[in-house]
Amino acid sequence: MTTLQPFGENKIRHMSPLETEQLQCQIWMLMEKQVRRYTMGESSSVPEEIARKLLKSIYFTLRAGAGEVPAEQWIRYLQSRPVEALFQLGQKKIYQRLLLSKTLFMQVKGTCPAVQNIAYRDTVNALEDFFTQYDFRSMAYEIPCMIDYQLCVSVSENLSGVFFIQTYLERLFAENKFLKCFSKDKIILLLHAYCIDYQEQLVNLAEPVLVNAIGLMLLNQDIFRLEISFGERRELFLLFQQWSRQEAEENIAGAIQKICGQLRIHSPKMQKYFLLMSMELAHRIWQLDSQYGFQGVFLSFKAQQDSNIFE
Amino acid sequence: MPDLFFPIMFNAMEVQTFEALQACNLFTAQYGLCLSAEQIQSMVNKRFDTLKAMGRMEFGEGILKQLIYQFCDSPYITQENYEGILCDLLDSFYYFKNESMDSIPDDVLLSMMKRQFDGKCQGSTEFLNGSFLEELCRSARYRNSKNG
Repeated sequence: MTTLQPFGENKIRHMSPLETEQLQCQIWMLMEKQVRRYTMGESSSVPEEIARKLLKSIYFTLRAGAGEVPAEQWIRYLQSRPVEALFQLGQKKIYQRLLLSKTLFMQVKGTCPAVQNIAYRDTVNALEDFFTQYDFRSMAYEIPCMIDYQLCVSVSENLSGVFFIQTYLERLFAENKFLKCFSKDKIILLLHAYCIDYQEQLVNLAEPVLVNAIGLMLLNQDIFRLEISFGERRELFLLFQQWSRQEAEENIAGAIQKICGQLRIHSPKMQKYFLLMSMELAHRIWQLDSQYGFQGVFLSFKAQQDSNIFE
Repeated sequence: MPDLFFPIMFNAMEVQTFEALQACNLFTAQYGLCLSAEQIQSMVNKRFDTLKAMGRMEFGEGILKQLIYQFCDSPYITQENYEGILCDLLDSFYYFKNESMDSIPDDVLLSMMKRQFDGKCQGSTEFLNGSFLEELCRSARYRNSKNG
C-alpha cells in the first residue's frame, strides 16, 4: 500500500494530517508535471511501473536538492520550503554533477592504462553510453549502463544515478593516474603473476601494483621496481609479525603518503582513496593464515616462459 | 490506483472527474446524450477500477472527457447505449495504451478508434478491439522493436 508513499509510514507518523496532506498535494502536482514532461504531453496516463520510477526520481532529486541534510531532519526540511523550488534546485545540482562527471570521464579516457582487460574496456565504452542515456529530468536515480570493471574499493550501493557514476569515475581516474606512473611491462609482469588470464578476468588492475608498491616502500626499496623477491617477502612477513594491527595500518598509511609524494599525486581526494585501498590490504593481511606467509599478497614476477605475455 | 497513491489526492481526483463529466453533459446535449448523476458516479468508479486493472496511473481529469468529446457525435451512439459504450471504449483505450507500449499518443489513439468505430466497425466495440486495434498495436510494437 505504501510503496508510493514518499517517506515511509514511520516518518509520516511524525507529521500532522494537515502537514501530510500539504506535502502529498505538492508532490502530486510535481508528479503531474513530471508525467506530462515524460510523455511529452501526449498521454494523461502512464503504466504504474513508470509512475513508480518517476516518483522515485522525484524523491531522489529532492534529496539532491536538500544536500547534506541528515535523514532525521529531512521531512522537516522538506516542509519548510516549496517542494517545487527544492526539486528545481535538485535538478540543477544533478546537472552540475553530470557536467563534472563528463569532464571526469574525458580524463579517465585520456589516462586509460595500456594493459589489456576486457571488463575495463567494456566498462569505459559503457560509461560513454551513460552520458547519452541518462535522463536526469525524469529518471535521475538510474544508472543506464553496465559497469563490469571492479574498482579496488567499490562504490557504495547507497549511491545511485550520477552520484554513483561520479564517485566511480573519480576512483577509476585515481587508479588510472596511479598506474600511469609505472612501467607498462612491469605492470604486465605483475598482473600475469597475479592472475594468469588477467585480460579476461574481472580483476582490478591497480590493486596488485599498489600492494607491491606499499611492500617496497615499507622496505625502503625502489617502488618502481614493482617486484618483490622471496627474501623481501620474508622480510615483510617478519615486519608485520612485529606490528599490532593498528601499527600495521599506521605504517601502511605512512607508506601511502610517501608513495603519493614520490608519484607527485597531491590531490587529497586521490590520497584518501589510496589510503582506502591500502586499508583493504591491511584487512587482507590480518585475515591471512600465517602458515602460507605473504606468497599470495606481495607478488614476484613469474618466469617469462610465455613469449606472448606482452601482447 | 487509489490504493497505490496518496488517498487524499484520490478523493480530489474523484471530485474533479465527476465535475468534468457533468460539464460534458452541456456539450453532448446537442447529440441527445446525457449522463445522470448516478451514471457519472459509476463512470468515475469505472475509471479508477479500469486504471487499477490495467496497471496504469492517470493524472488530471483523465481521458474520459476527451473520450466523450471524441465519440459523442457518432451515429452509433444513442442515449440507450451511451454509458455502456463509454465503458467499453474506456477499457479498450487503456488496454491498447498498454498493448502499444505507450507509443501511440492519446489523441492519435482516440481519433483512430473513432474513425474505425464509425467506419468498418459500424459501432461494434468488439470488432474494434478484435481486429483493428490489435493490428494497430502489433505494428506499434514492431516499430518499437525496430527502433530498439
